[in-house]
Amino acid sequence: MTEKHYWWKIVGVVLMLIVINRGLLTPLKHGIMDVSPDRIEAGKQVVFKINSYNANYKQAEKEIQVYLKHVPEDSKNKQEEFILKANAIEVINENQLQASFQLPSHLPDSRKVALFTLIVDNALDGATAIPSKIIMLQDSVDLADGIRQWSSSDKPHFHSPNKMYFPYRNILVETIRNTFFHVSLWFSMFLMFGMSVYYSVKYLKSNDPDADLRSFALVRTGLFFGIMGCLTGSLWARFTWETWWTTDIKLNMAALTILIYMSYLVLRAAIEDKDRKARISAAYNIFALVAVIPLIFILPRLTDSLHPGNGGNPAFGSDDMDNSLRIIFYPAVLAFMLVGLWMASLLYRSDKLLYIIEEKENN
Amino acid sequence: MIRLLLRKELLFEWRSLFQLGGLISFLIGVSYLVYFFAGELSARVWNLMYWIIFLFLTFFAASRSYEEDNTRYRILTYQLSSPVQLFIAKAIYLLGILFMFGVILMLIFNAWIPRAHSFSLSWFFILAIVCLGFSLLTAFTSFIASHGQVKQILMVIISLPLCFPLIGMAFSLSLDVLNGESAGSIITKFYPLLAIDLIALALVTFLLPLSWKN
Repeated sequence: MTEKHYWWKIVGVVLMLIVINRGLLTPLKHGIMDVSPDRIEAGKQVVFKINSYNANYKQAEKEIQVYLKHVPEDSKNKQEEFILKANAIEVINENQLQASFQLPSHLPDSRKVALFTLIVDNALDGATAIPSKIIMLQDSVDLADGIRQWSSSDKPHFHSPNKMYFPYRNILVETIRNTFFHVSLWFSMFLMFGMSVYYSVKYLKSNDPDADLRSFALVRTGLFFGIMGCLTGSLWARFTWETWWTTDIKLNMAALTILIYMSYLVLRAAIEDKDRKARISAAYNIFALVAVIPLIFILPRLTDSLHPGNGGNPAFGSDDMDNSLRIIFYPAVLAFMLVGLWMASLLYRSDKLLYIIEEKENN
Repeated sequence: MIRLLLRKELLFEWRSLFQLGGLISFLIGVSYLVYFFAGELSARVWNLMYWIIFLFLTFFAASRSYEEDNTRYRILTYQLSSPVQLFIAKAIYLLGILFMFGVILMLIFNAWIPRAHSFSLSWFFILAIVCLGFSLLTAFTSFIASHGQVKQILMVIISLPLCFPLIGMAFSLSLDVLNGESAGSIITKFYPLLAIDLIALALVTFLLPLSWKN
């Protein structure tokens, strides 16, 4: 075996190490976990108590700014937004601060109730926001006066952090890293199953036992990846949905996929004659993949589902994936695929050796 | 040829009618159990009961498909006809049997635990589509399982996950029917079911000749 044959294994391992290191150790950007009060009235003095995650307010005390932002929904001009700056800020500790606002008497909105976004900005951590969290009420509507009062403050300058951070998302928090593992595991599972079908077709055409061994090795690796994907997903569900498992359609279909491939293993074990085993399991393997595709990709999209990417939930929209995630996510997919192929090739080679030994004993 | 093979199937059935009798007594027994213990059933549970019993019936009926051909007959039939013809004959025969049992189960259910909207044209349409899909799938899996040991168990193990999407969609569709929705409003939901049937048909006709050689 020359260098040409194993360069991809090295690439896979290096990428995997980078993914594990950067994926787990890159800190989260600071984010606002909680604000109180979240229901305020126009024209009054209000003090917000802000609870943050991963912030450095003590270190950056001098340069902290807090803003309230509103974008009218019915505005014709999409760029139109109104920003109000806090007039006093008091840092309690690294993750807590108080900001007081003198609210104008009218809102820059034609309705009595409007939603506001709270933004905290500092030179160390950059800017973070809690979107549409704050509800502001006004007694009477005066759009012109509201716009005048809210437009007076000067344009704010937001800092951007110079280090790499993963985005902070409420509910997800640190589990956002699971994207690299959970999603990549499923992607590479499909690569394994797809390739094993390729070898199954090859076997049916050529009767080459080699192709059957390759296909079998790929299915086992794919199944392992599927089970790991389920486990990582289950762990994720524990933190975001507060349960290890739900009756959600995507989850059930994933379990069914695993079941289908487990019965492939049962089938292989149940047939004794080698030639027949290879042929029948190749046929079943092709059937299984075609049965699995509607299970995973079509059925969950037809009904309601909690799982991202289904039932109207976005998966890889710009809200969920930003560039700091993508820069790890794509290498992670590649790394899992390469390492998976390596695992499969190891299984195949050990099977092949057993096969050769058996052949020799029989002769 | 297919007609001849179908006749052969019927003849075999006629010679061992007790098997069909056994299946019908299974139907009556289980339905009576449901009637006796379940009490007042909601549409959902009624529907579930119907399809679960039907599913197991399918497994029992289909696992016989390649059973009765003992080795002597097998060699003979395989020489006389092509595997696809044999398979199609078996699938058509199974389709007939399953549809008949589906209707019988319906009649029994309606006699003991009647439910509004259940005895309707749309229901029979769903039943027909499901029977078509099941007969293709289970004739294929029973062919596969007939190569292994402990055929019956192997048959159930490999068919259950494959049948799941079909039974799942049939369940939600027939629940709509039970809840009194008109055939027109659920017509679009029939298409995925039909699509699954077509996929199964295409796959089976593609894979059978390949997996046949001995």
